[in-house]
Amino acid sequence: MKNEVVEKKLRIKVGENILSTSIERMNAEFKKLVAENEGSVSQIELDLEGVETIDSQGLNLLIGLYQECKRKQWGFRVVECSETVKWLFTIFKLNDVFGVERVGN
Amino acid sequence: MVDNELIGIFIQESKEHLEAIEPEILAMESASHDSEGVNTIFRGVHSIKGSSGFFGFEQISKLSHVMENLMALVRDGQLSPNSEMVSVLLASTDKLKLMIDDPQHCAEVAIEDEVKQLNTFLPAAKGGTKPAQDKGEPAPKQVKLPDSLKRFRLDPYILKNAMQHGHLVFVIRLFMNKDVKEKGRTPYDYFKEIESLGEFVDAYFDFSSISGLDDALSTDLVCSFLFTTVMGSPDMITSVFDIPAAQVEEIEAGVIKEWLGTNPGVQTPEGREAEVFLEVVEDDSGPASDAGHEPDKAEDEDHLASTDHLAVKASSAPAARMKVKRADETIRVNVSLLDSLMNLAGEMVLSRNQLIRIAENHGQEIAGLQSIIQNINLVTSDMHEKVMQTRLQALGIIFGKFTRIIRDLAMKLGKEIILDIEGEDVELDKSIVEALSDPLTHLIRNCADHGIETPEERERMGKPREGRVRLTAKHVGGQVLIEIIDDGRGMNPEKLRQKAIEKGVLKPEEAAKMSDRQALTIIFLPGFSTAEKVSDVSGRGVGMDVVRTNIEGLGGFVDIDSEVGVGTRISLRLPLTLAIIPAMIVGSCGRRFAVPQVNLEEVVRLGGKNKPEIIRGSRVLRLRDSLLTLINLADVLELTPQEGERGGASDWEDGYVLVLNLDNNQYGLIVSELLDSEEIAVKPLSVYLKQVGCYSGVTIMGDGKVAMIVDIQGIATMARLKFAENEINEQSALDLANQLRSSDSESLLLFRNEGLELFAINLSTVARIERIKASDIEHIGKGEYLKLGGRSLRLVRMHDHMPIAKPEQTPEDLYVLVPKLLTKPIGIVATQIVDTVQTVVDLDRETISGVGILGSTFINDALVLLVDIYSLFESVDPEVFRPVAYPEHFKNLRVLLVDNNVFFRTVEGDFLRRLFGEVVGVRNAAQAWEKLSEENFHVVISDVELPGTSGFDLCAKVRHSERYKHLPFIGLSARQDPNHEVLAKETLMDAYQMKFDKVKLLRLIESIFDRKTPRLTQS
Repeated sequence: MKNEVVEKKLRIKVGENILSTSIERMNAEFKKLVAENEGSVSQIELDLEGVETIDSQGLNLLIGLYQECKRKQWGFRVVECSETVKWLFTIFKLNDVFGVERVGN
Repeated sequence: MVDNELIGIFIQESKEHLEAIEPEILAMESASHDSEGVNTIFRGVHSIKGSSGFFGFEQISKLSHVMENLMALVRDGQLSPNSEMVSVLLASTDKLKLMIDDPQHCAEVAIEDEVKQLNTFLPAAKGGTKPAQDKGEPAPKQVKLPDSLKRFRLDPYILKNAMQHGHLVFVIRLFMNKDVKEKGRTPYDYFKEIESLGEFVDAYFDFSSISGLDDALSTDLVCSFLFTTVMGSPDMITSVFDIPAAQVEEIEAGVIKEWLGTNPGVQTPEGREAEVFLEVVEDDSGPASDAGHEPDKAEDEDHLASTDHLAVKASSAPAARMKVKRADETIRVNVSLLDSLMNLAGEMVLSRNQLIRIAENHGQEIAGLQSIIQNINLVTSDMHEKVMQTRLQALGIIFGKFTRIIRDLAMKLGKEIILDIEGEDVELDKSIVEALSDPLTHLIRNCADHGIETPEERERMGKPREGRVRLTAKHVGGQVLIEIIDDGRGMNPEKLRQKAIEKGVLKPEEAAKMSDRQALTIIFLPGFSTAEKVSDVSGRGVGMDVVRTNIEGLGGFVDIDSEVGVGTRISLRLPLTLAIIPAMIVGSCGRRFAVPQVNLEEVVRLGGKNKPEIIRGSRVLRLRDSLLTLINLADVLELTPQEGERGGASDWEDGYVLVLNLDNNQYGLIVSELLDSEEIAVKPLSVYLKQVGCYSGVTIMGDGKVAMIVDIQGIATMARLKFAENEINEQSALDLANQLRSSDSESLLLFRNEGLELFAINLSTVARIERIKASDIEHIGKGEYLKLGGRSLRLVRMHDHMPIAKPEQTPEDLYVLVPKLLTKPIGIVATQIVDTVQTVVDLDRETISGVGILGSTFINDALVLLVDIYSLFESVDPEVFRPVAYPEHFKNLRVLLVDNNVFFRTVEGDFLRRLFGEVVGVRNAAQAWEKLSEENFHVVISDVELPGTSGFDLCAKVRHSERYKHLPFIGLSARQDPNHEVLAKETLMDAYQMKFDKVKLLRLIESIFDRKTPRLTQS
């Protein structure tokens, strides 16, 4: 999971499918990143490039991260969704919540 | 997919709103505006704002929002509308239209100007976009919604749609872990499976069950869906979703309908978490919410098709000012469905026709068959008519926009124009209405641009400052007549002719032949535009020829009428529908063809009196007052009759002439048989046949055989028909006769004197033809006289002097032929002018002879008597016309008479033979020269206009020869020409004078022989 901070924006590139098998690890990484950047960032941008599948637990994790940001009054948005992920967000009406951007090429 | 369909509906509905509000905005400018109109605008922009916001089309939402604010103030009386405001509102409406056409890319449309201008009207000019409290919006009656619904965003579009289709609405609660994950499925697979069964209207997660990353994984997330589906019971839902019944709640349709009744806009959820993200990302590639709606290509096409909806009956004409009746209940039906219904109905009509034809033969054999067939016949016709009606749309749909166009043009051009619209409730087939939009727009623009003058100009001409344009539509017969009438400057046929010649569109002689009415149709010629300068309003070159092509493509006609200074009227006649047309089924050479009856004026059977004649190489039929050019269908299509078939050349004698109307012209199409008049279903031509050009379609007949539908314009084009040539009037025939004088053929005027005898007189002996009434004739003594040009003209009835049939009664309408250049002319009375023909006369002097008869000949197989006016006049008035004293010595003289015209050679020859010993007639200068070298003559009398070597050249040759230089030479001419007199002097002719006047000729000859001693050339 790569990340960088640009102008108070923490950009996290997930880089793999968000599945229950790896969900614990990812949760821990998110927690670590949030803790590390406490006070220095005001927004998280989650880059889902390369993510093809998100399972039920994956949704839990994303909503957890969203709620985490909200509690800290950080901005949160999701970028670079694949078609399937985008479709899923549409069904769950999560597009607006996650401020989903257009898919890049 | 769901969203694309939704967007399709959004587009359609928004367009309807815009159509409705535009006339209201225009009305705000006039004194007649009312609060209902303002409310219509308000409601329109309000709904657009609501739904565009729902889809995330922010630019649309933003602009409509500002418009809404402005309209709220107008509605509450805080602002009064003015023309400036109207202009800005109209401009904003245009921008909305532009964006709604392609909402996915609405962000690319710049709306800053409009927003800024709209804001200047708002009291809080800075920003001004504070949301208008929906004060006047009829306060939505609160409908008690079940608690389970409260957190959903209710979309009236989807719900209305669902209700109309009888779908059920469910609220479904789904545990993501228990119901999805533990059953071994990913959310993606799970929902993909269910998606096909219904539509997810909205969904929300119970976010509160997760507070952050710490408890993110331990919670079983609950997602609630509002789902509309075709599935008929909660049981089915539970089995499909694989969830307990307790998690499914059915929402009663009554609740939804009641809610829909009071909530036209989107209902925003109560108590739903305001999910705000801190930064709204301005994405220049499109609105953020676009992501979920990005259509793939196939879907995009689907979506386009789905926008092509047409509300059945008049509800598709929402323009509020239109007095179009709204049906109480309408449903949306896809146009493609209507199209296939239409096709099926067409097939059904064909099958019915086939059935009827078969039943004709077997009707007696099966009891009761006849009545069943009759019933099917009626029901089918009725059904076909009804199906057609579903496709009818009111013209109001396109008429509505012209108010706007005229207003814009008037402002732009600095003119004052009032547009009156009538008949916007007249209905036409959808395809025709659509295709009419462009041509009508062009015509309306033309009226405003070229037709109506500037206010100053109008005042100078004593007209009211305001120009009027009337656009009317009405049913006339089975057609719809649309007229565009302006009271502007009108069109000048002379200018049109000149311009057409300048532009090389017409040749001068073609232009000269056109009547004024025909000259007006010059504007329909390709490449012709009357605008002095090409403006950006009209005159862009596509012009009127495209208008005409379009209208004719729809099976219609364009007609034009104009008077300089008074105005112009353009009439369009259109069929109600294109798919089924009444047609005349005709046969030629054993084949069958369908001729559309719209074009058919009448049918004439050839034979008897109706005999085609040949004029200038074309066959024509004399039909009442005009000549009808004839085309033989078999000739154009190069058909030859097989053994036992009628058709081809024999049709000229006993075929049928279909008199067809083409613009203002007519022509006659000759066919062998008339078979039936039938309603035919038009099938488009295969691409392979389209290029042929003489068919417009094809149809299947009652007996299952195929018949081609004849394209009457195409046939005319193929036959190279030139209508200008139809207009042969007497004057041009005379000119023509003169032009053709140098050939051996002669121009004859054919006429009748009641009775069947056909008479001919050489056209060049006729000065004029007068049309008179029998009552115009004055009787003095035994003689009849006609007052003509201040002088009395003696009249002669041919049957009083000639051995011909006497009429039993004289008709009231008569003609008088006035001969040329006689010292004392006498008019010949005729009852009918039949024709003028150009023909080589083979004169038979033996068979029929008598006073006034030169001889007989056959013209187009009809026996014709050639009239000798000299002997006729001699018989009428011997005093004047028979010279009494012939100098005796003339009896010893030989005369050489040179004239290529049989008629004259005969007449003059007859006359001269009474004076001279011998008269030898020859046809041309070469023969004359030959005779002169072989024999001796005392005088040469020659026509000056001979084919080949002229009479003047002959004379010059005679003068130059040693042998003949003193031979008396008299030149005769059929027409007065100053050049002739000069030439006559130059070539040293002894005399030169007009033909026809025998008295004068006689005196001339006498004077010549008094002056010179008559002598033989060689003596």
